[in-house]
Amino acid sequence: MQRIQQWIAKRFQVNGTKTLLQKDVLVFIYKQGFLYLVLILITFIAGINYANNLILGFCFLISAILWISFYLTFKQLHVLQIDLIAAEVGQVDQPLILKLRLNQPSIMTRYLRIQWLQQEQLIYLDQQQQTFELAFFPKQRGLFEFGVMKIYSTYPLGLVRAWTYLYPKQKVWIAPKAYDWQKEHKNQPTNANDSLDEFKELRAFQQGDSYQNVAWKQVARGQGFFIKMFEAQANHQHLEIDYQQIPAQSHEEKLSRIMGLIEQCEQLGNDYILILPHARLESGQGQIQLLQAKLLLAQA
Amino acid sequence: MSKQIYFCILVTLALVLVGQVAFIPVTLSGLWGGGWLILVWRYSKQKITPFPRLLIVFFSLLSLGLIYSNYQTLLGVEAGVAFLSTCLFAKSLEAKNTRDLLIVFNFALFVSASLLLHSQAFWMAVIVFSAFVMCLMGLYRIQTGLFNHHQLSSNQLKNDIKQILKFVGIATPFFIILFIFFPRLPPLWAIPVQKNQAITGISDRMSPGDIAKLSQSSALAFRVIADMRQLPDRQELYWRALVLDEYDGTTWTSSFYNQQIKSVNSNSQGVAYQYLAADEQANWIMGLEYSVPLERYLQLYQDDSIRPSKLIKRNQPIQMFWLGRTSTSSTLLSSRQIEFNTRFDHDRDEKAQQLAHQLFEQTQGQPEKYIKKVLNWYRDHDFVYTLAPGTLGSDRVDQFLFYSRKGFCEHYASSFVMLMRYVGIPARVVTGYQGGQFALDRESWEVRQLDAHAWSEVYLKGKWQRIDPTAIIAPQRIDSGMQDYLSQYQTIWGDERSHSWQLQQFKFLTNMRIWSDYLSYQWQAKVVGYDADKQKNWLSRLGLDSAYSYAILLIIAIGAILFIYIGVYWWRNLSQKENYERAVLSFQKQLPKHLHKRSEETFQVWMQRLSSVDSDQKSFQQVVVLYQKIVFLEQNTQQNIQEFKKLLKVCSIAIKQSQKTCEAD
Repeated sequence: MQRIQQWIAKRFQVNGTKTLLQKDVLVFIYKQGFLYLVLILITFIAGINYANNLILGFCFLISAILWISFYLTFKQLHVLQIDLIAAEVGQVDQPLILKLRLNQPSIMTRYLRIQWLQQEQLIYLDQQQQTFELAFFPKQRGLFEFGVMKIYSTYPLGLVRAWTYLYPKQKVWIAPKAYDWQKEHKNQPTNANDSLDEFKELRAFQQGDSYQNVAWKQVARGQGFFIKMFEAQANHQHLEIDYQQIPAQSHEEKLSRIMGLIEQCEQLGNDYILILPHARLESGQGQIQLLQAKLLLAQA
Repeated sequence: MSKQIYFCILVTLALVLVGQVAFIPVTLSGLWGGGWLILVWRYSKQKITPFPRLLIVFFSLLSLGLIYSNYQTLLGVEAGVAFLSTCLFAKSLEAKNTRDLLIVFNFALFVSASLLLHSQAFWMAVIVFSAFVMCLMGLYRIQTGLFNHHQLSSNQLKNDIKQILKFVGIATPFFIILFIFFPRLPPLWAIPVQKNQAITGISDRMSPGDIAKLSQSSALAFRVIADMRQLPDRQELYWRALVLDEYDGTTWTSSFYNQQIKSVNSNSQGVAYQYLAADEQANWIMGLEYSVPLERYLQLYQDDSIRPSKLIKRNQPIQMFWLGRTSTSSTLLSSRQIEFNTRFDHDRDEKAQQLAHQLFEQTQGQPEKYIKKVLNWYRDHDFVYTLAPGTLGSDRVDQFLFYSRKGFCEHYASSFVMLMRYVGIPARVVTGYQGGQFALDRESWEVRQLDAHAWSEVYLKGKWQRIDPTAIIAPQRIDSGMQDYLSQYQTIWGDERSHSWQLQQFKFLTNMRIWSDYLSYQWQAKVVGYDADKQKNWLSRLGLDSAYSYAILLIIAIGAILFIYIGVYWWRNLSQKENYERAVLSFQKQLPKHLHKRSEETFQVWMQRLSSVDSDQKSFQQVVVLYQKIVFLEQNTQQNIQEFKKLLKVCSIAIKQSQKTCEAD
């Protein structure tokens, strides 16, 4: 069993893109197809035994339908081009989206289903190209493997199923879960070193400001669209996040706290420097900085 | 469960019901019809939840009770089909999830197939096929319903049916091949038939008016497939059912003498023919006088009637053998038989007895002369041949011969036989059919109920000899056949004028009947009756004579169809592509694999890659320019395409040459 699975995993490996050819599509009778087979058998016996040509003809007709079902179901998957597009970095407990771009050379209606983990999604494809998103929930920091996905179709009559497996070759680095610093603050309000949250002033909204810092209270009162400014922000503080300085015991906990700090900096728009034992990220902020930081944390 | 799927269930149930109405008790069809109407009503109220369980149990038990009280069993063909239908109804009532629906549709396929046990007529085949399409549509909607439940248009029915018919269309060639070539196996066991069905046609007794009534129906009685040139002319075509020799003053019945089996002397001289009864369960085989059956389950009796020894549903023609015109062998009657065949009631019909003795004396007691005299007497006394002879009281023979003088063949045969018996000549009545006519294609001979007839037999010179008094009264009836007679001689319908519409109706109905009988005969002969023998015959004409060759041909034929399908698919794919695309594809075919266009490359990039192989890059650049012209500036003219193809050729030659030089290096 194990060996068969290994063989399948190797056989159906996908590296980014794949066009389903004849050899990639498996076809066999589906659950209710067996009921249908019994029906064929009974009508055959009845037709022979009662010397009833029409019942025999009926038997032949339903057999022919089963026959072409194989072909029609097979055609649902055949020459379908599948592109798998994964995010560069994921994060523990955050949905990791795998984009599935389906392409068909000539437009036909396809009724597909995709199964991954314990989930199933229906895919109704009636255009040349359509993109669907599959959500994964990584539980561990490190390298994430998508595992097996199964695309199948039982169209048109559910008698036959055509399916293929996708074993994506690409793996995604998963950053640690962000430690919630604010939670700790609420618990220990006397803790020092919390100048980060010190409120300074309100200023008018500017293009590019984060919605997280909008002063909703004032907006609701109709006083205007303001942004809350904090001490740290006002000073454009450079935060130096050093692995050695993080107050935690285990490696994973430290990484998680670093992640939390980074997210906070990103929220507040602060620049930060990341210093890990084997790597260092120079001062900066924004999407690229965050991505690099996440990647470093994931690999640490 | 969605409404669309429920719709399929409703239609399937209706079809199953319609297919059975003619064969199940009225109470049962009433119950099911009522149940179905309630379902429709609920459907129109958008209520498609399953019925309460108690109600379903009640419904099923009631149905089963009705079936049992009618058939005294739940097994057997008729009761079995009704039983299956009950199960189908009950299951449809309680269906709630997809699994139930799958069972309902698969089971409905089975039930609709079993309807064909009732009848294999064309209309039944149409019903079963419609039910089949509906079941497939149900299965189809189960599969697709999850995907596009937003589409609730009325167009959907049309689209779905179109899809299903498309599938069936693709499957049909395979079906035909299987039907023709699949070896027919012999049945595993013989199927007994229940005998509680009303049978139209000749019965084992005859009262005045019986045959006249039968003669108003233009339904087909039986069909004979033979070379009619070898059989006698129409006026000599007497299809014999049975002998009636006991008369109680109103009704003729058959005595026990006739119930004894007659041994058949095999006679090589004669004509073989096939007999196909319209009613599969008829009690008698109306053989041409005189015939012997060649089937083992048929028996010939003393009165030359032919009956099946056990009831078997036959839809196959019966092989018969006509012994020829002169085959009436002399039979020696015992004194008891003579006594029996001259028996009459002395107190009844005294006037007729007087007439008989009077005529017998005039002919000096010579039977042949007496017979002629009697027939002449009929001719001279203005007898009328009519389907509406009116009713006769007691002393029927007297009343008929001296007062009403209106009668149908049974009156003439009956009174003639009595006139013989009064003077001691053994005589009896024979019933059956007389005449008939060609089917539309002149390949077979049709005998209808209106050809029903009665005639007499007189024992003369040690032989039973046929005398048909009707031939004297209405010679056209015998010469041109009953069908012509009915449409030409209006008097036969009776005197009143109101009978003219009856005639019109008859003509119309008969024409319809002729056509529908002809079609159903073709259906029967070509489809229903396509058995092992026919298959063998047909395939031997193709030069195939073993099961192996059938199987090989079957496989070859299926392969051929697959090949055609693939060809059509390929061709359609190709013709969807633009002509420049085709040119590019054929160009690519000539290149080694590593030079094929990669999926991420545009045409321009690809050409640039190719041109790096070759030193002369001009033609590659030209191709790119032309390609862009054709595709993006929509200058897809014939001239441009020609040019494009030419340039591609140049490119491919250039690549080949550079490859060669590479290899040489």
